[in-house]
Amino acid sequence: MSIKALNSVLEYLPLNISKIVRQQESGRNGEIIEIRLRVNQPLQLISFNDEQFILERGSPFIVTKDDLERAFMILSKNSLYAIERQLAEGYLTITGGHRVGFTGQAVIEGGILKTIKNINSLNYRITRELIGVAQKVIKKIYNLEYDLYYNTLIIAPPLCGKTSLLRDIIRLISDGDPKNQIKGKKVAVVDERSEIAGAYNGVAQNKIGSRTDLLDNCPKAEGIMLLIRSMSPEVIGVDEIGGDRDVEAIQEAVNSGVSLITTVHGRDLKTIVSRPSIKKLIDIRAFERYIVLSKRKGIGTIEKILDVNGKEVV
Amino acid sequence: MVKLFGAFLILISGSSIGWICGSIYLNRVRELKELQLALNILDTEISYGRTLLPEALKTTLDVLSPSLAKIFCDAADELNRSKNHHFFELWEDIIEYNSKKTYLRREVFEILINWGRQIGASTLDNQIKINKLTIKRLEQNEQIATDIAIRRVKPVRYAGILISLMVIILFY
Repeated sequence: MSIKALNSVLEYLPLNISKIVRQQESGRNGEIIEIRLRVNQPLQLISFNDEQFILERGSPFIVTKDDLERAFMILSKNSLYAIERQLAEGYLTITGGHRVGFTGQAVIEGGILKTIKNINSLNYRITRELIGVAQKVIKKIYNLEYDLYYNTLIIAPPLCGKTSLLRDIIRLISDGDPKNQIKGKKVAVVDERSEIAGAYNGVAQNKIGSRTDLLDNCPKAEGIMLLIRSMSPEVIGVDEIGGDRDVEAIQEAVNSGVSLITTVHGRDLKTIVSRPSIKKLIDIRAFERYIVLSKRKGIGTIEKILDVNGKEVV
Repeated sequence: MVKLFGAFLILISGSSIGWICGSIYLNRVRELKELQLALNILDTEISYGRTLLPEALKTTLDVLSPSLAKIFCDAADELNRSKNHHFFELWEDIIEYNSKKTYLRREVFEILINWGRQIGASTLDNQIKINKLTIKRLEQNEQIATDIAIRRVKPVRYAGILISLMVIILFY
């Protein structure tokens, strides 16, 4: 993780906590990937290899209610009204595409989660920009004969580098890969949670390529349809599909001849088949490539790349 | 000739003092009107634009006279600068610092301080209610200030002229 990434996250922490995290960061074993604040509990830092409760002068540094309120106030920029939609979703995306999840007291209206109040826990998840990781997979998801990309689904549990790989694939498709003599293509990205491009005020902060059009903060299903209609993309990149409406939009995209690169939570192909909406897409052979990731040898370990029949692509 | 000039000077000074004292009441009414307009603009920014508080505060500056604009401008700047503070912590200090530079009375600042304790800290529905309530309270204050102005502006201005005439008669 770059210092820049950590610094941009620390700006969203109360001063006392950002100071202590900064002190801890220098002597740590591995990169910090999560910073967890829970009311009346010790501050916790999680890295890829390790997790620890932070000590201050020999005793645990306890996060107070005031710390949490202050952190949330910084996150909302003193404008809670402006993040109502995110309050109902349980996370916020901050500058740089880092995600902050939260829990508290749920307010339900008509059976729907309207908001979360009395926040009691915050989880700062630090996004990593892994430039170059897509190089290992690009040839396997590219059809040289027809000069197009296969519809690809990246499968991995949380914190295994799905979004980082997707982002780098988008960048590589957009810029082209001279090493493999692949030309750049027009890519459109629907970034519902601002995680792929890490956009701030709609402008991408992460490298997503020079032929990429970004639709930030837009629901996936609407975004896919809008981009197909208006931007004539050759490839569409979208993160974390799952809902029925997403599936419908993906079907539409696949049928319109646009290549789709997307991700889903799961351990492997077998586990995602148990999700009815995803099963539907697999059954109609919407995806021609499956990339399965794990963190066995570090974040973004490529376990296997499968074809439409579930056979490994050599 | 000198006497005449002296008498003229006393008359001008006395009238001016009366005029200025009378204007305080009128300026108070004007500032209360400006505040209501500013809060209405802010409410629109919040409810329709979901504009973040610092930017929303800045949108009000055009309708405020310099002394009030400074309060809102300082609040926006401080919010951008001191990310570690709640709005109300900064707002109260800014109000206290700038309150003497306006024509408003203490109770109006109490209304603004109360508004600052809640703004930005709750959902959109609440924000709209808080803004409406604050505007209503400012409206009531404006009504009171207008009544006072109607009763006092003319007498104060006349008093300036009359007192200066009295001084001229006493001296000459």
